[in-house]
Amino acid sequence: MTRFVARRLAQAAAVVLAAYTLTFAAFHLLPADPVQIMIGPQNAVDQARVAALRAEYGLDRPAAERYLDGLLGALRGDFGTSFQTGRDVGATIAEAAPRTLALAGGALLVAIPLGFLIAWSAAHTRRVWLRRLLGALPGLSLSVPTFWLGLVLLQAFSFGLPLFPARGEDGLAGLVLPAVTLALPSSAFVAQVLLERLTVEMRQPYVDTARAKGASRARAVTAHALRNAAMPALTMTALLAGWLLAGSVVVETVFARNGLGRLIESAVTTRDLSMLQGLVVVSTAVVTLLTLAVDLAHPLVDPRLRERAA
Amino acid sequence: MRRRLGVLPSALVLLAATAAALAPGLFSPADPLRGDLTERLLPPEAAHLFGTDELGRDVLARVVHGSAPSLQAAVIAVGIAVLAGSAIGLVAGTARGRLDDLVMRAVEVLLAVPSFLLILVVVAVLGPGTREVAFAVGVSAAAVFSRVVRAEVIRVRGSGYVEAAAVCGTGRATVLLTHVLPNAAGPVAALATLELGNAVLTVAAVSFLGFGAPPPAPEWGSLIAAGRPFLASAWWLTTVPGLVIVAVVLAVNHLGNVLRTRSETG
Repeated sequence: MTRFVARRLAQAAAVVLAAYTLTFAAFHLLPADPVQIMIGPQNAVDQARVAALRAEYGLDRPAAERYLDGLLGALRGDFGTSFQTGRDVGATIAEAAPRTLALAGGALLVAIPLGFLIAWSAAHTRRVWLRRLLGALPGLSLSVPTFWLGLVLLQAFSFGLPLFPARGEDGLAGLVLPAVTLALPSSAFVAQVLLERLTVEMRQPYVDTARAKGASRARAVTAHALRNAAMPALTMTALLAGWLLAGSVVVETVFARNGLGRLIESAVTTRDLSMLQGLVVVSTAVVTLLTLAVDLAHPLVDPRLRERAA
Repeated sequence: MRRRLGVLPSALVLLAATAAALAPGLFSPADPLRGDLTERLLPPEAAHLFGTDELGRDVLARVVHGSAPSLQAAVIAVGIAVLAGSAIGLVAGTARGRLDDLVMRAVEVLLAVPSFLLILVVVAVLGPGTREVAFAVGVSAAAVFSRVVRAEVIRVRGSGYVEAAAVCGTGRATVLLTHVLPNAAGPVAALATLELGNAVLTVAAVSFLGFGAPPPAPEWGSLIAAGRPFLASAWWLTTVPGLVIVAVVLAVNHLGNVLRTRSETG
């Protein structure tokens, strides 16, 4: 088991290292020069100023040296300074993270129960029309652009019925609409994966056995099929972390919240490559670690895997 | 059989969207870029079916003219993803061993970076614009295709007719092109259709953030962004382009699901 964990940890570290290398290559080795990008093509700046800027950000040193320096810094949590604001990248990310964590946490709190509820009801009901309707819901909500969903919710529950504030800056009331906007598509992912597995599991002989022994249909779904079907949904939840970060870019823009999403958006607008590199490395690390955590948790849910891992 | 039910309406929606992209004049004779300032923010009525915006431009005309860049970007993105992904998958699947390991690890890294973030990074390097966005979306989707094609190659390699072809002395490249590739076509087509729906959504989201075509040009995403300040007073500015996106994505996804079921059941 420890060897298994060590190998998986090494794999995760390799993925994060590769993400760092990839962004470094994209930002520093391509013909596009970070200083030129920062200045912008329309602004003519004399060569001396360009050279001074290059020296200031250490861009005049050889690429290999910068790569190693940056890597060692990143290991200590130091991602350098932003090309645009001149502030420390790590500190800026740490400052914005709690707001996005609250948003993502709120979204998951709604999304997971909702996703399970939809899949459970669809597997449980014997009314064909209801099962079809519930089964179609995830696909429907994944066809709606997230940013537009946010605007529709704003129109309905902020301007139409003045229930929630339009600018979700702070406080619980401001968190509701943005969290629900992110939660609806997230719940669709969970429901889709879970329902697909549940449908397969409900046809298994052990479900018939449970029913023959007198278990109600609800119990057959909850206690028997759900336990076997829950694993892919669990994995999905880890993958959702990356999706929630992506969703926060548009949702935080729609609801004017300052968080990681807004940080990403403004880093792209100002083409702040050092900030973007920090954001990519941190988010890849988070997603990879979450995926790893879920993988390691699998044997806890499924006893069959426990024997294989041992 | 039930799945066939929505095929006709879905096909009609896509036909209309394609026609709007190729010949926008058919649907709306009004100029999408020039407006009459005396007709600002008019609600939907007979003369302007979907109302007018803050500069008096016809919303229907802007949505219709916006379909060309929006759909084009999505189609180019999926094209790039299919071509690049298939090439990578074919190489990895046929090479096996070291090269396969190396390529698939690289694909894993691409999949580990949240895809929307990857797209925005590419846009930050290349700069904003419809073509740049299409390229970025294509790159981020290529990884998924390479996995599907690689899996198909490995599945087909083991089958009897491929061995038979090899015994007959058929060259490796010919086997690849005439036996392996056609077999992978079904799953790739289904995935491509589903990815097209995703691409329409992603392109719209990137354009909503302001990284698509520059302002006067209409794009579905940027149309919605432009309507944001008038959310409380002029609902039609954001509602109409939003509903159009939903209709197109629903139609594409439905056809994709039909294709997927077909390729799975053979």
